[in-house]
Amino acid sequence: MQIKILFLFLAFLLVACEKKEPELPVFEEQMLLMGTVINISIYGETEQKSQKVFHDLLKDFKYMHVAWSPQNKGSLKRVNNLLPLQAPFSIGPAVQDMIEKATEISIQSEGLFNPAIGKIINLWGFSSKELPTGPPPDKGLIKKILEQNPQMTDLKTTPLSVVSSNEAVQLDLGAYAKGYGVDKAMEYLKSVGVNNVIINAGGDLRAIGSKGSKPWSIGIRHPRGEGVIAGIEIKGDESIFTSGDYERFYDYQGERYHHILDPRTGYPADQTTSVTVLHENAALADAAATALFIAGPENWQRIAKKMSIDHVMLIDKVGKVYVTAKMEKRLNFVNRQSLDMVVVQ
Amino acid sequence: MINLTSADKVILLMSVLILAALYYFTWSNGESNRYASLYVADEKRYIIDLFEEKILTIDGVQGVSKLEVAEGRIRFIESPCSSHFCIRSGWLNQTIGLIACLPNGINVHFSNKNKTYDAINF
Repeated sequence: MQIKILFLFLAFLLVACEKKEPELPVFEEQMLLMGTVINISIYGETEQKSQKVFHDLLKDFKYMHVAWSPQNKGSLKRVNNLLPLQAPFSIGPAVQDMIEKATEISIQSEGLFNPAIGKIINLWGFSSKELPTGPPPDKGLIKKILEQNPQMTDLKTTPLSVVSSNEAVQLDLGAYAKGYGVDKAMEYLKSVGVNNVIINAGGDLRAIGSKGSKPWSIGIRHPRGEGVIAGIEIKGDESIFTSGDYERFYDYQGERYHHILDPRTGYPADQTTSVTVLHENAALADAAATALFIAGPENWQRIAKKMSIDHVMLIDKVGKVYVTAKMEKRLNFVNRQSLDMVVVQ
Repeated sequence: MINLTSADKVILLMSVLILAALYYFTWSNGESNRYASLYVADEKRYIIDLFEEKILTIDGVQGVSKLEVAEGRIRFIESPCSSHFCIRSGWLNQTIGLIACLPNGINVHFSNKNKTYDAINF
């Protein structure tokens, strides 16, 4: 009797070995544009359709790369050349839309997200392809620009034109254009019926849909360790953007200088290691990650509230983790016990 | 007490072995992260076996980059860029997911489809 039960049990295990539903392959391609590697992952579409939409996106991102970088000979360069004239000039609808939305976000962030400080970013050399290597820029030059107080609110747009009232305003949309571009790319993908995608622009991403029966699973890199600090599963349509002091930096005479400049001082913000923001809109998540990084552990909650951002994880310069309750619920920490963490309601 | 004949024992042992084999082939992911894809200027150039120790010399858009492959990992050890950020990034591992020398147009990531995460945010 017992031997029959044993064989029955083994037979049951054999039934449990039924092959799982075969997973469709994920189409993955990439492009080197906008100063980073942009990866496109598409699930559930034919190879032919995936290739077509990838090539369409490649064209779009190439356009954005040229148009929106202050270094390239595109729309933004032209805008920056004409702004100091302080007279109205024509702009394209895409640039106008970006300026208006970036201005709105800049106001919400109390000016901590400030794309109008292009002159200071240029002094540091962080917008060029190669990282700077020499000493930081002259303090007097930074001070002079700060005294002129360039702000996005110095720009006034009318349909298809813009005028600046501050000769110090030069635009650098580095903390915004990537997110904006990802949003535009996602709009296109949805319009052609591609609904299960990740667009990962150099580690900042927006994902929609799922990978069949499984949600897209994203790892958030530990800013100081080698691995992942936490994982998160995407629900529907969400963007995850992180600003970190480890992304673009250089060392000079034992000092580290990173690319996230505090528009109040003209120097790299020094209280934060990284900020991760989860939001459905990639452009807002992009700008918010920068603004909250600059706000630091003292002020990020106030700024997040003003920007209507409720999923945030901030890691300060000594490694203390601040996380909103909503974000904490979504994150699967790899080694939670090892973290000095504060959950903020 | 169960009285097992020799034949019972053989059948039982075979059943257990078959089960183990079925479990492995049905559920396991096989050799995850054995291979990496190396791209130069957006074009996939090489599939690299990360368990074959070697130094790769790759012509990028600016010049020659050298990459070391060892023990299932790969890293930049020489590059013509000025920042050497690619070298400072260290080894490509399962969680980092991507290493790149953007000025030289070279990037490397895992080829397998059984990644721990579908993407890495950083």
